[in-house]
Amino acid sequence: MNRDIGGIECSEVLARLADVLDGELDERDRSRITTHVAGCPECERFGIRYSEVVRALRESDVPPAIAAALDARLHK
Amino acid sequence: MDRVVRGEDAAFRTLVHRYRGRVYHLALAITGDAAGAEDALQETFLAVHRSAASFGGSAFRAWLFTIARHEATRPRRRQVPIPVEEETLEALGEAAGWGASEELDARALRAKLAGALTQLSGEDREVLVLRDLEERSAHETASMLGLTIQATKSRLHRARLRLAAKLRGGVHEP
Repeated sequence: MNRDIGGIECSEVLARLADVLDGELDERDRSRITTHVAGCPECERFGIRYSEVVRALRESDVPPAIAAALDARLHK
Repeated sequence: MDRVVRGEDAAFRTLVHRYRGRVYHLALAITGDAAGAEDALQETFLAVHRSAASFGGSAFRAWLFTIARHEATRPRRRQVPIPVEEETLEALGEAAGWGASEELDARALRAKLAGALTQLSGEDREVLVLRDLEERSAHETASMLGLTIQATKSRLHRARLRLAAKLRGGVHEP
């Protein structure tokens, strides 16, 4: 998997995913990657997966049993 | 936080609900141990409740994570570190699902998060804690790790890919 779409290859998109997610691309690179992803379902799919992993960390909660134990400890 | 200082129980409950997930996963990432992480989670919020009046009032999240880090790094909670494996970025990507056609199951992914975290190396967990759980800046994280910003970014990207790979595979509860 390494197609050149929009003047950028899949492997470079993979390498720049963190910059995409963390908003650290300049306008030119953002435009190239956006064009690539629009024409590359594999990179689009993986970009969604990658961002979902980070979102899972940032929006994580605890399992119900741990939440219940925490609540009991804090409010006894 | 002002309402917590004034002793409003509802405000404290809201605060706990908002941050318990991050504190738990931060502790889990540091200890690699579910029981230790749960203990650190409880001790952290007990400490927040006890110390609310002494909170300076500007950066609550940083204060909270400092307490959580302290609770999670007590010596009895430390685990034997898992070494980092060095692979090419493409190999890491493929393990994480790069080029695969399978659909993402976000609910299943979140359910496996805790187990996947504990399978990562301490180095990977550390950068994920700083950047994705505590949401420290790249500059601050680089300073804390003693790395350049570019090296920090590279470590973070690889750690996220390794986490994605663990989440893709079979993961046991921590």
